[in-house]
Amino acid sequence: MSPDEIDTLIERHLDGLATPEEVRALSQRIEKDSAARQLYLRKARLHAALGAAETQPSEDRTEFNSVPSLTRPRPLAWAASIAGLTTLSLLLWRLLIAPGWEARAAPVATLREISDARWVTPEARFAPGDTLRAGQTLELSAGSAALEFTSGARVTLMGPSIFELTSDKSGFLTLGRLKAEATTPASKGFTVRTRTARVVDIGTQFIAAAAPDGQSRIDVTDGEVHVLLDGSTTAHRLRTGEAMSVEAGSAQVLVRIEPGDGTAAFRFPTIPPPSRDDIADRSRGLATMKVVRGELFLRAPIPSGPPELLLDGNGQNAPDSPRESVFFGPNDSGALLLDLGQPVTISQITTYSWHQSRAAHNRVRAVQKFTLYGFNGDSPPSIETGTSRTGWVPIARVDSDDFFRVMQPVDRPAQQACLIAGANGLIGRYRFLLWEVEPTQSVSQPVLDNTFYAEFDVHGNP
Amino acid sequence: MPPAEDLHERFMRLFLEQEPALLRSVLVFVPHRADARDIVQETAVALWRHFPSYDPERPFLNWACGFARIEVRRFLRTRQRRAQLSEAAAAALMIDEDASPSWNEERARRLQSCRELLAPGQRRMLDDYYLNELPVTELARRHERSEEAVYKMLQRIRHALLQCMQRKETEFAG
Repeated sequence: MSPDEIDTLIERHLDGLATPEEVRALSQRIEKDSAARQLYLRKARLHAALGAAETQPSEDRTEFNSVPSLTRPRPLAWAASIAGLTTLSLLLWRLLIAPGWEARAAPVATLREISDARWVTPEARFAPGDTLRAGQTLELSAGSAALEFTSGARVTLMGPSIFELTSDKSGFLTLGRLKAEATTPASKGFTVRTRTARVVDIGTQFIAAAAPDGQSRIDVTDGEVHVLLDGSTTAHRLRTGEAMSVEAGSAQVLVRIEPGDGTAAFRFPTIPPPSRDDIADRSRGLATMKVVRGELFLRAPIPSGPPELLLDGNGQNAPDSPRESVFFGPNDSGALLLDLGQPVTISQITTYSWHQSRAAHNRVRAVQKFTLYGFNGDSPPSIETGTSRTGWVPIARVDSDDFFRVMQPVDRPAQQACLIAGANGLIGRYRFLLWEVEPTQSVSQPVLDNTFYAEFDVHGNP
Repeated sequence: MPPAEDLHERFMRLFLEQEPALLRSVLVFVPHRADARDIVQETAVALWRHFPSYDPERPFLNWACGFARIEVRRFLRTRQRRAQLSEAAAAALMIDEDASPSWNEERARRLQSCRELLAPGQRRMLDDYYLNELPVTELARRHERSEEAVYKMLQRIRHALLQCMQRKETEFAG
């Protein structure tokens, strides 16, 4: 390969034009040839500097050439690069150059209202009436800011959050929470992307949240939205009152929690009732469930049922039925280990709980609060105290109080089903599943109470 | 330990300040921007998880770049969405990159002044491609050229920028 050919290959790779064979050849060359590496680095660093947009958008404005370089409309990007410049030149930039580049990108939204808003950097403050353009990012450390897109969509950003406007009908939520309303015909299809999901509003109102660790959550407050996950073409439909959370990671997992009808039939809007046909059902004689950390509450007169109860295909027959439930002692957390008896390609995991005491507001033992892990192998890694779970694959985190946005005990549904499913149909292949369960603050006593779990179902194929 | 909210805010501020630099460091090995952004997001996850152990005495960017490189290598090992460099090639580049001068403010300034020397049409092309992230099909339409011609033009522009920067570097050293 001649130097010219390497040069061309690098350029083609940087522009995404190179074929897999060409990239393989380039890789081999780079692995063994230091001159090729130097050339690659030179070109790739320029490509990266242009692509990460810390260079200034150009404008035919030679009259401003003496003003030091400033950058694209990413407030922090330029704020960082102007460190050391005088306030005067900053002022010059804001007065003279900023309007220059703003003139090139079409406005996509207007900032309508702010409330106790604190911006991450003082230089990147916005005020009501400000026009916002595609590519601009709002970085709010506290308070809220309401935007109106030219399409008619309205977004209220709640700090701390980072939101980039990408067009008149879309934005990217890196962190934080926002409420979106798309009620005008032109705003139909308004899309909010997070790092794990794309939420398409089809004439409605929803709340999207993105956690620093990549978990996304979508709540539909009115109407209907479609949630598309990265790497998946299947849209998940959510209607009023429904919510979904999406875990980050290569095996994307959806978590959906629904309130039941409060009867022994365990009926939920879309989640099926406890099943006897699942792969973990006791009747198959393969799966076993045991406690590997903490202790079930076994004292009379209201002892927990044995752990195998979770595999019997039944929910409880009454709303406050300890014997038909599996639960840990007060103030205790614990871990339940399910051995499926063989590796299983798991598509869905469902957990059920029910609790309503005589006091109407006391449903504290209905809360589902756990972290689920998987392991495929013959002997699972040991479960010691502490938070590190070396060797286990985290599958999902569930906190149904958070999911239902429980502010008062009475907000909490008494009967709950939590469905965990793979975004592309599969969660993964595991023989062991581990639930690390957490208690919740009691409504009547200064203790933490544990959930009355009724049934755990696992669907999949060996 | 400071309250969780403080930690979160502190993390956000540091991360946001360095996000463009992190993206830049990733783009060197994974040139496609959507892929690189995904990697930066994965890096943010890792950084957030490890943030309690971050030593504020250390420069955040250096600390973060270490995580970004781990994520780059993980990405190259696992993803096959489009053709990517081999992990071994990236590892070799990382060693060489460490040995060469870093992309500093001086270089950024040089790049900026070299951009100013481009013809207006070239600058518009560069902005449309890198800043506005328009696809080449759209660039071809806007600039009334074939897609092939757009790629060629972009290559020529980058070549010109590199030569200009090289010249300025020599002048600076001299």
